[in-house]
Amino acid sequence: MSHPAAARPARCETWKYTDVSAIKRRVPCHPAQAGEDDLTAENLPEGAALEKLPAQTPVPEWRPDPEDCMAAFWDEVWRLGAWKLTLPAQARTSDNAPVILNRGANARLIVQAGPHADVTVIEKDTQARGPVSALEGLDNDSYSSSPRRRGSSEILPPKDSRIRGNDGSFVEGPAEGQYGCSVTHIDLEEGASLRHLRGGAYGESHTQVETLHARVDAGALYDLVLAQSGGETVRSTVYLDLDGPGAHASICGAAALNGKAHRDAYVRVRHSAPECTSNQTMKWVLGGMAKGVFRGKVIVDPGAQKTDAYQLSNAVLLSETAEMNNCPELEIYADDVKCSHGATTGQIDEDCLFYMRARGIPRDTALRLYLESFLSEGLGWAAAEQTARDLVLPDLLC
Amino acid sequence: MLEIRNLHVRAGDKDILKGLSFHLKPGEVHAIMGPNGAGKSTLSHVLAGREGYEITDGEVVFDGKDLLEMEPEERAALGLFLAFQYPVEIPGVQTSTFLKTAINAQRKFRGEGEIEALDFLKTLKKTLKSLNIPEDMIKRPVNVGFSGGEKKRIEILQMAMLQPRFGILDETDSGLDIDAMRIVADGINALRTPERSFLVITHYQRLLDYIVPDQVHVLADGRIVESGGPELAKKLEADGYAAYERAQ
Repeated sequence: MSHPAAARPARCETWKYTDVSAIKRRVPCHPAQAGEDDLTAENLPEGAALEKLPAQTPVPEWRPDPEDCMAAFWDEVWRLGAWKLTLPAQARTSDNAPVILNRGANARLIVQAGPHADVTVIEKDTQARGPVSALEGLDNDSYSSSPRRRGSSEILPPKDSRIRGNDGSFVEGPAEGQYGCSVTHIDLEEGASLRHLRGGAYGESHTQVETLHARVDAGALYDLVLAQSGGETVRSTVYLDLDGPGAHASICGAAALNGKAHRDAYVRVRHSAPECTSNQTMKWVLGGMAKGVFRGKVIVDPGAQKTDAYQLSNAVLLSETAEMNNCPELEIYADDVKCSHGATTGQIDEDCLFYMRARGIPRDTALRLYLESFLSEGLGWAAAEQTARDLVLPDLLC
Repeated sequence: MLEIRNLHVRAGDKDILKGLSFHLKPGEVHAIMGPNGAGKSTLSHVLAGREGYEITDGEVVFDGKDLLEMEPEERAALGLFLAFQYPVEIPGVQTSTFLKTAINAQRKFRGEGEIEALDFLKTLKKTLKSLNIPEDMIKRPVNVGFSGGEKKRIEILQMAMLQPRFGILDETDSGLDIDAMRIVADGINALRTPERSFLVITHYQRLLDYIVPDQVHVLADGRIVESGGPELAKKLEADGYAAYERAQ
């Protein structure tokens, strides 16, 4: 199959910060190689079913931005075949046994949750090519000295700027490029509740592009956590449609990047019904020449009164060459709503580090603790669950 | 235990400490009092190893070692503890986890093994009770959402758990009501031993009613301008600092 015409490198607002043409080169649209679109599940609740949908299965109904030049691309990818996880009405997972989905980087998935299902899903990319430590690229300058006598010399050991792979070895140069391209559709029926963690740690030459669309019906709750680290180019597009009164969606994200990694998260939340709530909380740790992009867009349709929405993006830059771009957007067509946004980009909080060091904790440990605590806030519900925390934090802070 | 000789400290282009000297023996409690901007907090920060200060002259000897050559964590492991005027919030790190991490980091530095979990919990529970701190508070992230008084009590909890040999209390009384001050002062007094020393930095004499110092020093414009017994604190309470400021 040739590249879909839809993946054209046009002027495309929703992809402003991430080069579509580069993705087109890196993500050939052909049936995935063996294993790359596999998906297995553990701890399925009673009555739940996981099935492989055949190629050419019709694309679920979804509403991407009209100007999203990649929308048709995702549809073509979907038609290569997908997985479907059906969660029946009233399905339950206990906190100690969430559904674990082990998926290849190219897996396509639809999750359909019946009325009042209450399920936790942890989705992990098993084909990630090794995490990248944001700590490795820390500027030497940020290791400033404590008060010393004038004239006393202090030579600090240079930090190794190479990238450490999953097995602890160093990767000297770009390995063979890897790519992943995944499409996910979530459909939550009335009163359903889904906590969804998507985690992955990518090697330095990995390109991952993914799109996720969720439709949330009346009184349903969707809590999504994106916890991905590393990668050369990683772009997540998230479309959330709050379609029924009282629906709620929460999107949290934590990313630790280094080297020349480029991480772009685009989140569009559409409030179509009254009394819906949504929040977005993104946490970034960027070292080396890494670049982060967060575009959060909230659209409040006419009639979606009593909407309550906020978005927040906080970034810590570990080097002078790291970069963060925040672009909050609000489009409000109703007159009785509460919408807010905020973004900060800063350096390590030296006061916090000093506090820990003054208690005897060495700087390296203090820094790790500090970054872990910072990123934890971007893990949302997953931060409180040990299983999720164990799965994600070691990758984020390897 | 602690000898400060002719200490000169600069922050940016401003000289803050301009030849400060005093000597603290084991078991002694010294109070540093002085007006705003005299250099009291600078002194506590420099002793604990905070960055951003330049030592232009003088020396600080702690137990025969050059304190100024050490990193903050080394100073802590050797027994120096700073109770912060403004304790920092650390979201995402449970207070009890933080305490245990700190204790084990200090033990590791001293070449000791990690603390037994049971011993840690036993000591922690006992200390919490003595400081009137609810147990659920230490399950919360460090200082996050705590009131000013709660933060100060958590500082004393940390000091009691870390068992330092020299404690610096930087305006620990600020933000405390009378009852909280009594609890904090009792916690500090319980830690007084013939080997452990304290430097109490405060604006007011009130705290020194509870923690009776061996010596009181008046710090004004970067120097110790007068030293005396506990009666000096009472005199300052009555007369204020105007006389010292006029003398500069």
